[in-house]
Amino acid sequence: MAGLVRRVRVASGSILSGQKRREQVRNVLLFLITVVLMIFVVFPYYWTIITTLKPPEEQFERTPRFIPKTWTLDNYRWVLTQKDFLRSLLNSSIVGTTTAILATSLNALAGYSLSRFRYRGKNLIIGFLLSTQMMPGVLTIVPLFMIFARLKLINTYWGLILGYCTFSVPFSLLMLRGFFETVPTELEDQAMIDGCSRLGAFFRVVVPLALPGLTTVALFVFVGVWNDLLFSMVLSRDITTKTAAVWLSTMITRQFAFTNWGGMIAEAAVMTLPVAVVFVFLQKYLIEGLTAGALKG
Amino acid sequence: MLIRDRSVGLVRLTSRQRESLLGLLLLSPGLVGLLVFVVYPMLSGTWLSFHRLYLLEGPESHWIGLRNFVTFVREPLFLHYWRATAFWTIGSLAGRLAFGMLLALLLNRPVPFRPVLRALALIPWVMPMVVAAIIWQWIFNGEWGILNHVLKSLGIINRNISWLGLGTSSDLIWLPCIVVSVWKGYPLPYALILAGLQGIPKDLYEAATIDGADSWASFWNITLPMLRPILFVVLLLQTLFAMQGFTAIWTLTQGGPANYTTTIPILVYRTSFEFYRMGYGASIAVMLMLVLMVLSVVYIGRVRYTY
Repeated sequence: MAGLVRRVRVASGSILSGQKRREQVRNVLLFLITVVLMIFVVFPYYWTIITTLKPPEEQFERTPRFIPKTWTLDNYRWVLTQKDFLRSLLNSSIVGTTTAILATSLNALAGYSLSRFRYRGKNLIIGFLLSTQMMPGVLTIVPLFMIFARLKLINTYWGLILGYCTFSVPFSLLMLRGFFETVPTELEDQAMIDGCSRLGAFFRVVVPLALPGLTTVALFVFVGVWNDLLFSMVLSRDITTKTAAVWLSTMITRQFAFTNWGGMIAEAAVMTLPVAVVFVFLQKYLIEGLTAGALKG
Repeated sequence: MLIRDRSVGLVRLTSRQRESLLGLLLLSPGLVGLLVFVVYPMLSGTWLSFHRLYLLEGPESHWIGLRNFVTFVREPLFLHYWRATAFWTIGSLAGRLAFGMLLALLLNRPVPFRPVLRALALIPWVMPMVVAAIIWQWIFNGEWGILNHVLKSLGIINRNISWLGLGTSSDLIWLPCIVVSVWKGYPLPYALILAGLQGIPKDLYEAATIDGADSWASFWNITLPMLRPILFVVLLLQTLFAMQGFTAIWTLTQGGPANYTTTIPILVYRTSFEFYRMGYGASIAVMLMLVLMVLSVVYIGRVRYTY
């Protein structure tokens, strides 16, 4: 039917067509649907920011406003006075950054090894890595708690860092391997012919080329640690090590959050900020990174 | 290289073997870490499930064999917990896939501002799940939430609905939970599907249109089959992720009201860390692991069969 109409139109040479009009209407409709979906996507962000800019009187109104009557930065000023929350932000930052750097460095060499060297059992190892991703985290939390307790690592930065480094191994290894696969081997071979050792070639030739990949993985790890809730709940006891995610979740489940809702949401917004910044930088790499691991691996 | 085969003690290593050794060496810290902090706890957790460890009684555990599992199966809410888990998993899965696919298809067409929209579509991935749950909880709030306000303005409802308090009377409480799960979880499927869509050659669609196919037929016969490998990966991973989902439900409802939204992971956490019945909690987790394993095997089996 479509083909017939098209051929008739071409044959008659006329520009007017139900076909084209229908296509245009369709395009407009689909675009409208896209816009509606995007509103759903963006609305929570909008609502977060708007809520933080509203004064307390406007938080609990019978008819909430989409645009505040009075704009205020008081909520953010309040956040700056919240010592516990700020401490939790610090904890998240320290644990997140250290884990990201450590995990990426250690796993870079390992990922390189997976990509370049040939040895028996390599596929087994990769299969093993993939299967660890599939195992429920809840099964490990009790024994993990007991192991860490025996090692006296509960409620310490190093305990959290160690734990997160380990959990990030499968994901980072597989992603890093994917990135190294995209670096052609001729360059290292050239370097080794020129006298470099294997490791030397790695550091001098491969690393600079794979830097975008390394950065991407580091940022992924950072985001993973920053956002995690379950393990940091299990491995931390008090505010000296509680991450921002844990702190926020205990605040919200304790219901006295309602005394300063604007402030609470401002805290949530502040917690989201670093990840949002990372995202802005990572935007392009995100899709590449997400697909490189899944499609190539 | 080092070759002195007259000497008994020295090993003759080819450069390839030397490489293999180096390779394995580089892998070892990561693998050892995994063995210690992932595999061992998993085995230990399974071991624990056969013991009674009730911290309020004392730190010692006693072997009781399968009794924990029997207790769990006999638990009056046993089926309810699995039903809750199924609701959550299937709802999340369907929602994330559908939404991700829809957005990917829409943003694969030539639309104005396409690069901006494509990037914007990823932003839910950015927000920490805790924050997302908090914000959506606020949106769904019965008294002051913006959703009720909008629905009333549009005339769809007359009175406020207490979205998060519905559990005592209805499954509708899953709606806010699934919405959060979909909003937060669709970006990964979306990104993967979009990447996959871009790999489909345009001539296939042109050929189909010339043969008279409408868009639904093209979708069904070209798009879906070409996406199959990606959809398989997405389906498997999302099922496994969703089934283990903890943060969203914990932040929104803590498994309530009255255990209505308590899925297996929530149950395990509460049993182990709120009721201190750690052996029992471990046995529930082991059961979840078995279910996940079965699902993985079934998935992979079906894919092998189709190929």
